[in-house]
Amino acid sequence: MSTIEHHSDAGHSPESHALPPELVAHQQRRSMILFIIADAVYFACILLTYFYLRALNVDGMWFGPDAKVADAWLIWLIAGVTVLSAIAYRSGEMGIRANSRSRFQTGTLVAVLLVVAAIGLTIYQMMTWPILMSDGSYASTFILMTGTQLVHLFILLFIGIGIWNRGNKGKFDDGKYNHVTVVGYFWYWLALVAILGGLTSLLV
Amino acid sequence: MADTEIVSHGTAHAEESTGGGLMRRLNMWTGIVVGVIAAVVVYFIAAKLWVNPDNENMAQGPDQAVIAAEVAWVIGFLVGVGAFVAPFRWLLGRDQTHDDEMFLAGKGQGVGRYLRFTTDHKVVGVQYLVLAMTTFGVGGILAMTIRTKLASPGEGLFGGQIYNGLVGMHGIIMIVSTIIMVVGPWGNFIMPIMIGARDMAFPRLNALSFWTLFPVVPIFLSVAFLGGIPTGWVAYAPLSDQAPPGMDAFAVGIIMFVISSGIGAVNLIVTATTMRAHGMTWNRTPIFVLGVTATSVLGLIALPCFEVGMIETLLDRSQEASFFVPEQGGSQWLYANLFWIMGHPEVYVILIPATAAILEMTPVFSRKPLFGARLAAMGIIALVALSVLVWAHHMFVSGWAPTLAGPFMLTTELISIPTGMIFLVLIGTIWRGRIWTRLPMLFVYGFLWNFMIGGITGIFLSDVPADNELHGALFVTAHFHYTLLGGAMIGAMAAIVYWFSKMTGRMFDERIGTWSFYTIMIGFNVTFMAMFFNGLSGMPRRVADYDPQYLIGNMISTAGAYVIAIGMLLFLYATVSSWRNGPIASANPWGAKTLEWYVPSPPPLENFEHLPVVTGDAYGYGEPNTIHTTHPGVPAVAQVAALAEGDAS
Repeated sequence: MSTIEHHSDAGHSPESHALPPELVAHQQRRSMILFIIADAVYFACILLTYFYLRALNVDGMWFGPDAKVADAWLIWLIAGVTVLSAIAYRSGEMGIRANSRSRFQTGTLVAVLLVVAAIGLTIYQMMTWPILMSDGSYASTFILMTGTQLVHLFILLFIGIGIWNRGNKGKFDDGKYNHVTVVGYFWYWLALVAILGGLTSLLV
Repeated sequence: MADTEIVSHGTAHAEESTGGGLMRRLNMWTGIVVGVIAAVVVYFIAAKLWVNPDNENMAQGPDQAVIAAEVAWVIGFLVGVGAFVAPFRWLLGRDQTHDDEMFLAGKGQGVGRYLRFTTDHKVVGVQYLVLAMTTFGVGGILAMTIRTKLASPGEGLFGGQIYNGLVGMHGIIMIVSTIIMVVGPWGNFIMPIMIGARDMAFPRLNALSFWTLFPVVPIFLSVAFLGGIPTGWVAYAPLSDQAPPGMDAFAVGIIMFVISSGIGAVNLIVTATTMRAHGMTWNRTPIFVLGVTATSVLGLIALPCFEVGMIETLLDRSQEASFFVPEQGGSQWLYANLFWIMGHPEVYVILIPATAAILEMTPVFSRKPLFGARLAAMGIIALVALSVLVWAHHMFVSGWAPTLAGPFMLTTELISIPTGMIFLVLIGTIWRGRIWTRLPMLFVYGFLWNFMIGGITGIFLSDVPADNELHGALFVTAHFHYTLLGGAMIGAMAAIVYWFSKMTGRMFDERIGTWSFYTIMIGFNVTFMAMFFNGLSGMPRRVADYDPQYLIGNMISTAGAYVIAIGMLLFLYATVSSWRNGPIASANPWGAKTLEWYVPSPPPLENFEHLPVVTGDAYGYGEPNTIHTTHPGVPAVAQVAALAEGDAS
């Protein structure tokens, strides 16, 4: 029965036991979606923190006397750069699907560079922020959101460099690009989070 | 999708070896050495930077240094154990070769593979079992210390501060132990074989999940040397904000535990949903697989709430943030909500796998199909769904949202319906069965008794007026010990004695195991029944001293605890001696029908030479000529005969 011949684990199996590629691709996509769901719960908890403390405004300290509103232009600039990086990545992904190696490499390289820019801007934002954690619960929550996004951007940078580098080594082509797709899910998710974070910042 | 990229799994064996020399030298010991060096170096640098009079935030300096050192320990350990080798090789485009994969799987490495970043799911299962039993032992010693202290009123062995710290450490170590004690060993060891797979979907993630958990244990133990946690394991704010640096270690430990659990949960879900054998529809999937999958889903969506709560606690403590400090705009109710949104689902993360293991073995020893198998599956799914809607019953007396008390009382009482359904399935399966009273079946009876008491007393506590009286009393302590210890732990012990032969290739010593069972059951019921009575009489929980009127109840509880300890030592002795010298087990000593019993004991590296095809019900006992599976090259008639031989034993 063919199912018996092809069904197999992959991690340490001899070649005849290798899992069907489409199954591996399916598993990788599903696992990334599950990680994103867990990350979404994490993000939802931070939003809960933001809106709960904002609604309670305990002792009028949601926005403490020394607190200042974070610069909206910088928040939206970082969100915009993150979204642009996702668009560039998508362009690269479409490129590899169309077997255009140059488009893939250009797209992923631009995407990675934009992530570096987003990281730099976020660090600049945190270094020059006119608020401290101790300036009330708005400041605490917003700095937490920003810091969390920064950690995620570093993870994205790591895997983005990996995708770009592996592309340079010819690991992907129009029939073999599942890692590109899976990493794309995470990229688009972070772009969405950047937009949601920006929208949250409108509700001081 | 025309995608052929499986380099991270198996195709790499077509490539030439790229060395892997460093990877082959790394193990648990190198992890510990690198982790300790990283922690010490980072601590001294952090102390130099932050714990000095020039630092404006000098008060937070010790917390910052402890957090930095604990994080450095975890990262250093993971580097030292080799967890980051594969990701960096992926980054560099130097995928692991087939030889590398086989080395990681532990092929030909003997006992040493248990101390490495080994990817074979069976090795990971054994690692989890040993870790769970070790941490359970530590938690048990702490419990005995607490009970010894409470044997008499007054100052006694130690004061309230130490007592609080011990209660907190006992709580968190037991919670972590009980979360991993079924899903860890048996979800990893048995579940892939049970569904007819050769390993988990992501073997390296599997190893990463375990080795991320391993450094958490020393972190929790370090809590005792950093001033302890006076908050109990719930780590309620604002007390957590004022606690000594032990709270920092506690929070870092929780964060790492959540990351480990998330990685493991994703792997289990993907494995169960994509790697079941041909013919294994969900209707034919063993109930244990369903239970582990449901638990993983629940853990994946519930545990991040605790992670956020702990990160916010760390920021409050180390950066003067304002999440839980009311005078700075924070709210302790925020923490209470984050904690219990995780906390009640976590109860079912503990209970469902143990219950599923009990459901798995009851038909085997009743020689009957699982009564109402779909009802059991629906019950498990309903438990998962309802468990995220009941959290505020833990906060009835906190003053939070009194208008919501009614709805939460209703949802909490509703959850007794799926629990009752599962009970009905168990009783219905045993009813008029051809009962084969072996040791696992004794544990099934024990589970039914204890969990019945735990469940019914839980219904009392879901009632707002009753909860107002009992919430702060020892009654609650007895209730949750009946569910988590009497239910989940007994279920986990049942799983050990049931699957022990498959894991070790040797039979569990049923004589000593039976003594152990009765000793534990008697000790357990003496201990916690006395707590019910003391609680109903008004004795508060979490107290180091008490009024002499509660003396007799406390003495009985302490005596019962020592009886439990004797039973546990007997069980430990039976486990170790059976593992070393037990009689050699056949492949299927129980005559069971699920797939793990079709492979040798212990199973070979890749479990199946040829993957099975599932043809029928996993619990078709008593139905003539029914088998669960066929194997290529073996006539079905021969397989029926082999199974019947197992039935007769």
